[in-house]
Amino acid sequence: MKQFFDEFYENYHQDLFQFIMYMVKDRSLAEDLVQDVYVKVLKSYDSFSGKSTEKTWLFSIARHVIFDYFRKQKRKRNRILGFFDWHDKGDELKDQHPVPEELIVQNEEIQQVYDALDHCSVNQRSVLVLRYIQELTIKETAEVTGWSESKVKTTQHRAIRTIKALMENQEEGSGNHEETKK
Amino acid sequence: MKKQKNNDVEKRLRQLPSLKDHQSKEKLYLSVRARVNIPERKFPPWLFPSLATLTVILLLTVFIPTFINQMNPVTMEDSSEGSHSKSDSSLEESKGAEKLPEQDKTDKNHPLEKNSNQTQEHSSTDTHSNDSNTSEDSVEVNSLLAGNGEGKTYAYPGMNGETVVPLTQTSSLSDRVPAGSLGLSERITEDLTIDIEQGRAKVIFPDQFKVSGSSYSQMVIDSIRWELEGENIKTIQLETSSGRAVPLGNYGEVKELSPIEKGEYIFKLYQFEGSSHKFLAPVQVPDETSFREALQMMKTRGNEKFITSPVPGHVQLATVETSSEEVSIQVEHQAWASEQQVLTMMEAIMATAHQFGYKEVKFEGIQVQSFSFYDLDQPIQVPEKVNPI
Repeated sequence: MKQFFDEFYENYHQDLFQFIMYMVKDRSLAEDLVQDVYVKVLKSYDSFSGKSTEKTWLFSIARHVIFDYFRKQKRKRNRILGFFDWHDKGDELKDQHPVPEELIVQNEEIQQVYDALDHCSVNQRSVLVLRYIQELTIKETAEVTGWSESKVKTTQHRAIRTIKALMENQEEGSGNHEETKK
Repeated sequence: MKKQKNNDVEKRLRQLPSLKDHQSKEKLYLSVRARVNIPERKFPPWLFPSLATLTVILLLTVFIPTFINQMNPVTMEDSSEGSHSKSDSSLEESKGAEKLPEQDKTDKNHPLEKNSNQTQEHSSTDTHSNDSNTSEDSVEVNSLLAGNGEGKTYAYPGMNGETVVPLTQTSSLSDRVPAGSLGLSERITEDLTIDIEQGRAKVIFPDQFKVSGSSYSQMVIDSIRWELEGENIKTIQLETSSGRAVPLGNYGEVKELSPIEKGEYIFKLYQFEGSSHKFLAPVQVPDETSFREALQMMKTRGNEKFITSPVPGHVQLATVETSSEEVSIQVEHQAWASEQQVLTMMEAIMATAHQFGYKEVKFEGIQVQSFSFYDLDQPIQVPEKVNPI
């Protein structure tokens, strides 16, 4: 087991952590989910068929772990909403996690993109992270998601459009704000 | 403008910084390993079950033969007890016959053991050449009579003080009698000095001699009387070293005892629980008991735990006194359990006959093709002493 772990850790750990971190934006949660991924990987390594690469197989597992987490969170949130009767305002409540230190030193535009990821759906966000941060191809992303390549392209396109719209709105907002100042 | 914007977004996405995990590899591995719950085996999984199975097999291999060996004697005893229901005394006979060869090594060095072994060898030789009509041939027969005028008598109380057993030391060896291994208590007259002079016995007790309880006093008295039985003593005088009367519990201060009189005792069998040794034990009967009545009393078991009747249940006894010194006993019986059963019954009757003053006993009606110890066609001389050691 140690040998498999070492192999995966050396080859994929930082990519794996980064993928999860951009998906959940919470370092301690990301650390827990990384553990979950390794547990699943080590328990099911015998079932790895070799049809895909190790990396896409690993990211596929990680994606399932992340989606399972979000599903559980959604059920939990729905139960709490039902109990406290917060109406639709509850969806607007967000967890406030500290921005990673690596992002603090980045320019404002980069931070805007980082924030904009929150406005994408989980599927869109996963495609964006896989495609632009992990630099997977359309085909590899399709293997990870289990979709067709065209669905990956469509999802990617919609995600970018969502972010672009957000950034345009922010630019307009800041432009109007400057004119008002003048 | 729009297309450029898309490229800008893609460019900015690619510029997102790399986020590093700061937790240590080892810590992560330990956490993962604990959750995977697959303990790394130092030994192959089949090793411990195999070793446990092997150990059990080895233990069984060692203990089962030992257990079977230990069970066998018990089985023999059980079968003997089965025959007990047919005959009251056959159990005791066969037990004694079977167990004698298995006695302790310490016993084997003792004159009693030698005597028994010699008797057994003698009887074995005699009986091997003859067929007996007993239902169960027993080659290991054991006489309980010491003959006439041979050896000195020592009295040993039974384990529960239910009787005092006179043993006759026929050997010149002065070995201490292993009372405990014979199923007897230690001799309580050990510290007494007995002087015999002109038909008078003087028993001197140590000044510090004390008795505890009435049964102990009775055992002291019975022991003295039985050790002096057959010595033609007329009076037994008791005194302490300082010349005073001896305090004997409920009896108060005793100065004199009467010797054993005719017709005072019958003989039954004493055998302590678990002991292979069996002895003729005197049992006191009421005054003026006739010999006929004595024989009937011999058939009863009594209340004492370790005393049994020497007369089998299937045996009926009737007496025909032919003279003042000889008695003829008519015996009606069914199948004997063993030659030992016949011998023990006859010897107990002869010892009792001696107690009642007879010198010879003629047994009539005993149906055995051959009997090695005594000539059943002739009167048999009664013994003066019993229980040879």
